[in-house]
Amino acid sequence: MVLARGAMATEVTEFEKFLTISGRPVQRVYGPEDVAGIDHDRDIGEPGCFPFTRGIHADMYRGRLWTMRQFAGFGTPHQTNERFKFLIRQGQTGLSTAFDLPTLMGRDSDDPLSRGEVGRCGVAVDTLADFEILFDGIDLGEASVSMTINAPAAIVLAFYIATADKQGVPRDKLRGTCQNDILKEFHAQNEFIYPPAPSLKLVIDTIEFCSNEMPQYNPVSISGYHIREAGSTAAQELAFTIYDGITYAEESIKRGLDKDKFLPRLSFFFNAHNDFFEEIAKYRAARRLWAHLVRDRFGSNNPRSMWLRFHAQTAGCSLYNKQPYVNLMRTAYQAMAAVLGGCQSLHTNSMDETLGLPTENAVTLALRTQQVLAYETGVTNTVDPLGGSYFIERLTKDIEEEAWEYIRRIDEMGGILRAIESGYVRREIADAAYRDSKRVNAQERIVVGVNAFEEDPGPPIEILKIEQAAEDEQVERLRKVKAERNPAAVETALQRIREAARAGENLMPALIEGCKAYPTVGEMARAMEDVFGRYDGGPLW
Amino acid sequence: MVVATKPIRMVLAKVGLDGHDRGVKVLNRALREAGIEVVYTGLWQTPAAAAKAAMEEDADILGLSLHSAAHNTLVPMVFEEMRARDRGHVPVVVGGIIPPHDVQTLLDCGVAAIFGPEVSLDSIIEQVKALGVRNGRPARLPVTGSPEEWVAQTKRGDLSALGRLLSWIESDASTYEVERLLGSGPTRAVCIGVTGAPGVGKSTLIGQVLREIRRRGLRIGVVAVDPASPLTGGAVLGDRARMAGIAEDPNVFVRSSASRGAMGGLAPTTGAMLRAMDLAGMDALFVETVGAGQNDVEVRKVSATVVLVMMPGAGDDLQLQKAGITEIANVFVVNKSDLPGADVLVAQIRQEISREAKVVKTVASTGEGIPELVDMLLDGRG
Repeated sequence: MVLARGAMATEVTEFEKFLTISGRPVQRVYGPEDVAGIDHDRDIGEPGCFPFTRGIHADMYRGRLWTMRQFAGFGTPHQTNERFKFLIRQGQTGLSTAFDLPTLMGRDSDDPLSRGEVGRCGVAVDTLADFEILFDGIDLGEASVSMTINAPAAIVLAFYIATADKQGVPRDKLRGTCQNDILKEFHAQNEFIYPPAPSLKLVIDTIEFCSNEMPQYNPVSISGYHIREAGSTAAQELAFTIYDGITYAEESIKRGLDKDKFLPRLSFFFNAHNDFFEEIAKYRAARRLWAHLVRDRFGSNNPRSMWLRFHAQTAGCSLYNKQPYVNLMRTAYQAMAAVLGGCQSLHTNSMDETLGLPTENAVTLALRTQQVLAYETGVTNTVDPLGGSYFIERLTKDIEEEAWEYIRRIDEMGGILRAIESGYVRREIADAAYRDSKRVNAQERIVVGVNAFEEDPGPPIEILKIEQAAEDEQVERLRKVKAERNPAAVETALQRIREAARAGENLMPALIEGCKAYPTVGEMARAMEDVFGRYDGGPLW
Repeated sequence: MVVATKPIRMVLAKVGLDGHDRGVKVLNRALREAGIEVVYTGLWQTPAAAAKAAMEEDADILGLSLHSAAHNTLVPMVFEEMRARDRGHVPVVVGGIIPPHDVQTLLDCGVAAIFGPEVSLDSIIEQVKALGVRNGRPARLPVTGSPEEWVAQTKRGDLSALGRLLSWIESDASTYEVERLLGSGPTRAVCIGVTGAPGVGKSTLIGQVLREIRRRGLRIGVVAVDPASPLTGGAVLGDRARMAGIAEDPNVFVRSSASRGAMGGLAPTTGAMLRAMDLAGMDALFVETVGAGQNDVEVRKVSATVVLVMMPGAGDDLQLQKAGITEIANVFVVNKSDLPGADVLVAQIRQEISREAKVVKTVASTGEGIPELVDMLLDGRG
């Protein structure tokens, strides 16, 4: 009996010791009994077939590799334009634009609160003039352009459309993705301006506009990346992201949009974190969840509408200053998880991203990580190579079920706006973040070079410095644009935006035509704020 | 004078435009568990707002969180602002993303410690505790000065002295000493208590009310009360994070106060703190408390007006059936009244409380209904 009790204690201890990063227990071994309830045809399906667990295409990377879409953007529009051209020469197949914090927050470079922030962490954009410089010499009909922007996304999308108009590119030829997922800002990243309801309306305006006029453009990238960066578990990342997707879909249907026209244009954006199998299972669960929702909740049987196409970015929160070269290994394994999970595009973080904006050398290494994965490892030769694994299939189902549970809970609350107002989502994420920090602090979760194997600081690496000159140059250009534009035309444009907002109209036409008079991001954002109000955040967690 | 033992008080501020708050929130909780009183001032703080918070809270230590590469511009500005408020002696620590080539620059500028993402929680707590104490006493208490001097300075409008006076009231003072120096009669300023359940938007509402009162030219004092953790004595004092629009306004003085488990949810010294603010010349005084239950009956003892903030759909029946607060509240606010069910809630209030109950519908995020509410609260004073 003493022996039996001892055995139980050992078993419990061992069980608790083997956890995923999200804190999910992992069995010593998985076998047929763990997948006994899973029916291949019903629950998994062939690649390219409902419910798309194994991938949205029958041939996946044998047919076409994922897009290697590395983030770029720093300093002035000129500098970012140069970086874009550098990346194109390096073999990058899509452009992805990061904006600086003032732009992300709807503020101009000359705003007092922008001081010290202009051109750091992204490119500074104040008016349409900056967009013209940003894409100078780059044919918008040929390049696929993604933009990471949320609260002022409608404004920046208007700049993009106006730039294409000026280049003579027809709107129906424009390709790319705008992140434009305002709901996750309320959950995690805090880059919001207006309260949740009018913020959501702006997103639906963009979906409606793109559905009608830019059929090849993805107006929204529904993002779990930032939710995970804020500390959520993998299942929470999945659930909250999917629920945001439900919200955008249902609001669009309510507005009368054709399901099979806009649903194929909703794209997703997930984190690729360190726990290899958990991440792969998460992506597979995501596809299955979305396929069921599209068919059963939104009522579409169109396979293209059921596809969950996703961009993945490796986990910024997994990178550390100590032993920064170790970040290369983390990123490589994370990238492989994203690929084995079936991503459509991928950004690999640079090893120096916790130290500042990446250098060209670090960006090149990050891109090479993807290229080695694509051309040397053989993981692209067969579709869903881990499919059928007892562990992977069990884990996929478990994560899916946990996500469904969250979805039901938010439904019971009355939807995502209610969950935001009550602080439910933020509380769940903050609690998970705290639990994980305690585990790392107690060395229950080992982070190499951080809480173990710490002796060697590793060789120093080159770090990019953004000089103050970028800010000075940008403020000077803004001053010049303001001095040269037609003030009456600007005021007319801003008034038109206010009127459209007050009338509840789709704001995209007013923003596109209005921006051609060169009002600033800040002025346009304030015009909408006059009607919508400003949000200072929900309950603190 | 013997200095009583009490928690170290730390102000945490995210300075700049970045919104990444995972690290600062985790640290907030870890410091609280370690017994430190943390006042988190929230996102998008300016250097002036961070320093003003440190002065008002009479912080032992100021923690800045930065992730946007603006540190070389913003951190020196914080030091300037601290010196301008007679807080140059308070240690300032920096956390977040700081490239190695900038570390020495910040240390030369006066930063006491820099915590990157890989520094362990235990190490941060240890350093904060070491920095927060000087010669065995909380660092906030200067070598010179006395309550009598602080009272005199406060009467002359010195807000830096008011911060110190409030700390003395909270920690060292006996009831007798406080009454001797501050008196015990009613305040000249109007006193308003605001309470409501989490999630109803109470802090956002207060922020808007304060802005409206400032537009009318009046000066304001706020005591924000938060419950302390019964386990460790630390507290997360976070309500000032929602008053972002007035964070720099020198005519709004906000002080967080831990209730430390006191019956009624109010810190025992709240009344005295309000009197101190009254001495400083404030025209309107606010007490913000947490929750909406029996505990909040205590708010009546220090406030002539008690506002209960509610919202549609948040368990309306439960809100109204809580016996204590509805009996002493004299103004009811239905916030987030753009949500369905607002008029139903108004009708329920009139039916269950009084047909003459003062009820105002607001949407704090847009400012709708705020002028009407302020008219009611000031009752002719502004």
